[in-house]
Amino acid sequence: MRRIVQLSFAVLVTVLTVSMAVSVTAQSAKKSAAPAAAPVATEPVKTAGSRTAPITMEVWSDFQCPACRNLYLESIRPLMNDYVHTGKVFFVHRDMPLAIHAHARDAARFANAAAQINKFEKVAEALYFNQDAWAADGSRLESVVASVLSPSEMNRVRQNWKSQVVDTAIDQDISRGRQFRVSSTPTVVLTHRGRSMPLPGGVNYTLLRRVLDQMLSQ
Amino acid sequence: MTVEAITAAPEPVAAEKAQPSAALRWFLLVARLMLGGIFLYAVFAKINYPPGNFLSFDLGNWKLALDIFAIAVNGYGVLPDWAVMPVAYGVPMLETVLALLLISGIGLRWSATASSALLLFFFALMTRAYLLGMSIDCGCFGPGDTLSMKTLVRDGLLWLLSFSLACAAFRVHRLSPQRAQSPQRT
Repeated sequence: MRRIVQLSFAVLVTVLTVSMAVSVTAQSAKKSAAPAAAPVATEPVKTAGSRTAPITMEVWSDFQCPACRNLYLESIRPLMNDYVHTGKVFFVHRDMPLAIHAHARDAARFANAAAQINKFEKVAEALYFNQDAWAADGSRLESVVASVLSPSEMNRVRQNWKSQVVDTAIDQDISRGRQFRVSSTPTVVLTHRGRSMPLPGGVNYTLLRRVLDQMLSQ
Repeated sequence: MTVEAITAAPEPVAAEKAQPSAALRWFLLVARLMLGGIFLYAVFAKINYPPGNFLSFDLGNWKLALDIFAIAVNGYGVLPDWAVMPVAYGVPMLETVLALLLISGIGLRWSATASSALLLFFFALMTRAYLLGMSIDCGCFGPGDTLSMKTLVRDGLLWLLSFSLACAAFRVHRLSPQRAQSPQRT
């Protein structure tokens, strides 16, 4: 009789424990799955690739963040050739300038200002490549941006930089990130078949390829 | 008193009946089932894609799920590239074995000790990453489990549970009736 009681109790405890764990993570899974609809339409020039691609990859970045720089150089650049330009992945850049980086917001504003004249990719690349040069005190930020633009383009960027549109675009990215509980950079969010999955931290390109290939094979 | 009574060897002192308390036994039962259940859930979360609950469990995507777990493993930055996939596949296997041993109670002292060692190792890695300011996925219970103070406290408590279980298992073994029956050494 005692053994039956113990066995029954054993089953009950196991089921309760697993159920509790499931319900706790199901809530967080729901929260991360909830905004699984197609990405909010952004300025088209902060995106790359086809909107009808089976996978959408949103990357929340801070231009002053070294890990974001590594991700850009080691993963995003090869990704563009292998997956974005071949129509497999729709890439979306999202800004999330962190408070600990004094010049990150200004850098994001320059990038978004350049995005308004379809020069986002050039400026973003320049900002990441020359991060060491401008991140220390921000004094060389404008010159780094100007180095990849023509004088007339740079004038337009300077005008756009002052507008509210640029801040609104950045704030919209931050707000979208909150839906996925993005709190650090870089954070990659992959959306596939209506389900979104955040991957905080830098993502190794070899591993990212494995994941993308498996998703594409489904 | 007869001569026989005076010269007869003294009666051997009966071995004291040292048995573990009921509370200790119940703790042992509850703790191993809880810990085993949590390990089972951790395995499930690592091999299930898309992430969700038991009702949407899809074993067919286990490779994709483990590749995603490998990204979390790699995020800690302690393994060479060649070791990431073996560890990503090996950890759920180890957790499964531990879960089954804990739930069944077989070799409890050693399974509880092994789970304590494993959890302590994970906790040390997480603490290191947290102190270094790394923004990574914990990887403990599937993707989206970002490393934070909350995850540290959670895993620290898990280790505490496992360690307590190991201590209790050793104590019960020491107090078991079989050991009490062995003759007293004088």
